[in-house]
Amino acid sequence: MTRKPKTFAVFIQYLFLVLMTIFALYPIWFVILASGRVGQRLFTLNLLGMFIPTEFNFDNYQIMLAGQQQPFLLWMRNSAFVAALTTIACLLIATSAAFAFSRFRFYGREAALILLLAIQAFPAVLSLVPVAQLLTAFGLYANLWGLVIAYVVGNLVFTTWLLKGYFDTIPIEIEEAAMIDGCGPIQSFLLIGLPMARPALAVTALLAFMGGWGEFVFASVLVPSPATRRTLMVGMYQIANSPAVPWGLFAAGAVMTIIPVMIVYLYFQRYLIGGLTLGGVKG
Amino acid sequence: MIKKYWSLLTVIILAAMIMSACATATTAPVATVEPTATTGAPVTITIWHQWSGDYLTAIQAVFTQYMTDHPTVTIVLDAPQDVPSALQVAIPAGEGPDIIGWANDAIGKYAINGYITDLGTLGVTQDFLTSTYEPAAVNGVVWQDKIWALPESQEAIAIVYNKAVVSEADFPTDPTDFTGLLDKAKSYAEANPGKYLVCNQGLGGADPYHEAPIYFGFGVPGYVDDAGNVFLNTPEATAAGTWIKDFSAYAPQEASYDICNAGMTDGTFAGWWTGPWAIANLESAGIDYGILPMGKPFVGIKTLMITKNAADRNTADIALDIIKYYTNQANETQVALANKTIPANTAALNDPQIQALSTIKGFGASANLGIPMANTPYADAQWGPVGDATQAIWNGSQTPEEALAAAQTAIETAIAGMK
Amino acid sequence: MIAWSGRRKALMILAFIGPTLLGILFLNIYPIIYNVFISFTNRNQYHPNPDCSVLVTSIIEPKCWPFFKASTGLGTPYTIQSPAFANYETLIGQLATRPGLIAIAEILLCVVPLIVAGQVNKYYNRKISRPISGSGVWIIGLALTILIGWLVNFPNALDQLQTDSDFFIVVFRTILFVAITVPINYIFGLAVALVLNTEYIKGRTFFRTAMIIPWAASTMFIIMSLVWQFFFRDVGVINQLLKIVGINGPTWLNSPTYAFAIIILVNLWFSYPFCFTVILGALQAIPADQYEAAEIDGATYWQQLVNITLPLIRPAVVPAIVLSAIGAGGFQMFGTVWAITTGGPSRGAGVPGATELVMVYAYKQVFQFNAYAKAGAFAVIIFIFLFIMTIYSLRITRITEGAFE
Repeated sequence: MTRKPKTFAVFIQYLFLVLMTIFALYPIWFVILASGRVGQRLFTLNLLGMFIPTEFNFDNYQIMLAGQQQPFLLWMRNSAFVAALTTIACLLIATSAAFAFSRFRFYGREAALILLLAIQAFPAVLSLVPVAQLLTAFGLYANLWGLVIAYVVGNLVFTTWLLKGYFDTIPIEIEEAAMIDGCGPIQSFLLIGLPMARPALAVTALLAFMGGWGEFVFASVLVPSPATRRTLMVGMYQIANSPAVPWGLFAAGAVMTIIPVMIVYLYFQRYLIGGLTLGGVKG
Repeated sequence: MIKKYWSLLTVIILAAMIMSACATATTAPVATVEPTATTGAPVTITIWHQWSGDYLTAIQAVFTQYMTDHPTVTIVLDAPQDVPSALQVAIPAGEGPDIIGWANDAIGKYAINGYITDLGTLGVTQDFLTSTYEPAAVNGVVWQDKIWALPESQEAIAIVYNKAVVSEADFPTDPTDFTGLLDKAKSYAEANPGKYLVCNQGLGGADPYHEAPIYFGFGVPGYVDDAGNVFLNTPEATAAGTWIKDFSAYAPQEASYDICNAGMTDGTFAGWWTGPWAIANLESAGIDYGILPMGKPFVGIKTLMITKNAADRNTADIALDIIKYYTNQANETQVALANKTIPANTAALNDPQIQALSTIKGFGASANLGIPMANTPYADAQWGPVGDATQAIWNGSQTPEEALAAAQTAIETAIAGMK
Repeated sequence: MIAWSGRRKALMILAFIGPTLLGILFLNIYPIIYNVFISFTNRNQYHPNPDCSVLVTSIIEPKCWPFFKASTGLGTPYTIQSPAFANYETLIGQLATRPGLIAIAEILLCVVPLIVAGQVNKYYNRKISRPISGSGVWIIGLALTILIGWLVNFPNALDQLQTDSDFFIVVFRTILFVAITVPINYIFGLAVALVLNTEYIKGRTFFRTAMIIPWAASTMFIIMSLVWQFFFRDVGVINQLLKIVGINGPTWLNSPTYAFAIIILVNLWFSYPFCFTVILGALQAIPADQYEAAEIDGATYWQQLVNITLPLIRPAVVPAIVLSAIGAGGFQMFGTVWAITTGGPSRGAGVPGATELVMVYAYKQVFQFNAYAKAGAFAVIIFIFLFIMTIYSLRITRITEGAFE
């Protein structure tokens, strides 16, 4: 809309943006402030300290990193391991399935798609115990690989639909041309389909990574102990639920948990806008 | 172009590997006890527990000493976040701990589920129990005439007050004088705006264990008895509920362990209705405290149980040896002196050093007034409804009569489901 | 892709789809079968272990498989209930009785005018001229709904269903939650997207990047929810700010209404970046000449918004709205609520708490009360309900595809 804007309207719009930005960022800022305060408090009686770093030191970070009380780095390693593997596996499996659903015609294709979508309707909470027992029966109790399998399957539905939607928007003529030149389906998948689906792949990788990083409920059931094998979310929740909560440590851990994800997120965010809507239109 | 993503993913994997390398290099000894080098037939015993903080240090020392005396045994302590749910998946799979350190109210539930072993099959006799441990503790670990655990400490809550701020005169002398407590709380709150006399983490939270002194102090014989009778729609219970409603005007609206602890340290609360586990925090904050019994609290018995998997893995005998070692006189005395808990071992309790501890006198007096915590599965049904009912009374959603009647019905339904 | 057929094609397809189907089979379909089976038994915390001599049990129940050890607990094993549908009966309770059926009929009656209004609109949309405008029809429909609701005493009907039935309480509460939170999220998302799409605002990239951050934090909902919970504590930030102004803030988390409002607010914080991202993407796909043409015709900002922008972003946004309404951000919301209120300030024993949504209720039944049978029946009913909603939503998203024509 290219009319000349009224000053009042512009002012209101800026004000709105600023308010929404404060709303969005304040909790993160608060956690950063709290992580710099030593002691047991998530709050301080000093009201100003909730908005401005009145005191800031890195003791909490040092304690968390050194692992004196909690094996924080080990938790981070476990979470990174699970998240990375989830991402790779999800990319491989979901992409191939989505490609097949989009390109091939076979009996039961639509039924399978609808099944895929409808399966998600079942409350995931109630499949926790059976799935945990199933994975245990395969010998994966307290094993991070069991978590990876569970996360990959959990992400499959959404990512397959997203990728399928994206593949649908890529015209099939290119692949048909390649087929005339003697390209098999796997080659056309790897050499044509995947490169053209970059934005959707980025979105998939991002969602899978963050799903694996941040999932809590299933991790607490399948990998409850030993403490060195827990994932980050379970560990942080345990810190927050211990009788005498070391809030400073919790906040420091929270900051260290959020920042890497934030960076990955910001790196990928330019793909998000395109990837989501284009996939979403058809999906 | 696809290479761009492979490289990013490679970076992620590399980062994970680097972090793991760093982690193994820099992670110092953590809360678990470090395994020592073992020769012969090494055995690892895992203990799942609920101890934390300073409380844990003295306990760990005992296990470390055992490991020094028995080099082939490694003891690993662990505190999973949700032990009952974790046990559900672990035990049938043959995994999980060998020993569980928990309060005795879980005994009935775990026995029904088949998680724990009858110690009688390992050679523990009733005579051994009665000759070694206090009678209340012995009652706490026996259910359906079988011995399910060895008791290690008793606990009951009482009002722990800050001597620098209030004195005994600020509290009623008779432990069942709740009207007096209400009046004193009112006058204290009025004299010191913004401060409260007592912080109880059960009021405002949903914690029937901490609310018990009030209910039982008014004359309720127990939430549920061993036959499955529920006592919540009695006039005494309603009187207790009304008292709680009145008390909410002079107590912090939200309370938890954390809030009470912080409040004691900075002076917002003059007293904390809590048990021996909190003493360590108060001492490290440098507070001069006094202990006063109030009401009739639950007397909980902390126990050590042996899991069924230990029996299957043939580690049960060693596990039994460990828990006998932990609950013998010398170690109980040592732990009690450090943690200010009340030992279950009779000889340790009668030790003059222990008797001289002010916490033993204070909490012991409270325990003498108290009602033992039942270990039947019926007892397991009481926690949810009583907590919900009290919370509903506290935040005004229901009147005491309604709330307690609803709790009565809920517990009775649950118990009917058992039969 | 299409040329070959027969076994080679089948193998190829299997290679592509195989892992997916396998995963879905084991980790999604098996739990459903398991829960359906359990819902017909009386498994709870007093009958926790299976009776492995029964054939069906020994196949479905993991504890009967050779890998697991037999349990030696003192409890009696669980069995199929004597009226097999007993769990469903307790859950749905009132529905089968006469007052319950009347209440359902009353509720459905209230919805009828809206459906009729929709059909009327669809009929008139195909005509060239229409006596009443689209919004006019909707207003009449709404008025009729309210009239009928008052006549049949709608709140009474709701109460009727909710007495003695946890199921309806929880489901109605969740529907209410979705009905409030989804519009709020998308309205805020729309507002932000509109502002970010205007050219004369400087620093748009900065604002966009800043506002994406809650979405990044949303997958670590545990941590951020705990922080938000802190804000609303008695000694939290909000109350301290109010104290400065002289107001004594209430205990937010102890009051049922405030607790509900808080989870809507926190859900807004987690969800609106997703909403505005979707809407912004769709907005950017609208060609600018549409607006120029409208301006030449003298349309105001508001008219442009309603008649051009909204219909054109509909195909992209409606699927997102529908998916989030029946997905983890709406009907199946669990994590945020659990971390902040664990089911909400209690409204009494035996009654679900004030913020106990469908998933929270299910989680509590399984992990705190160990009432597997009841939770299984609950899950099956919810699954059927959501399944129908999902199929229906697929129909809706296909209908709106034609907006570009």
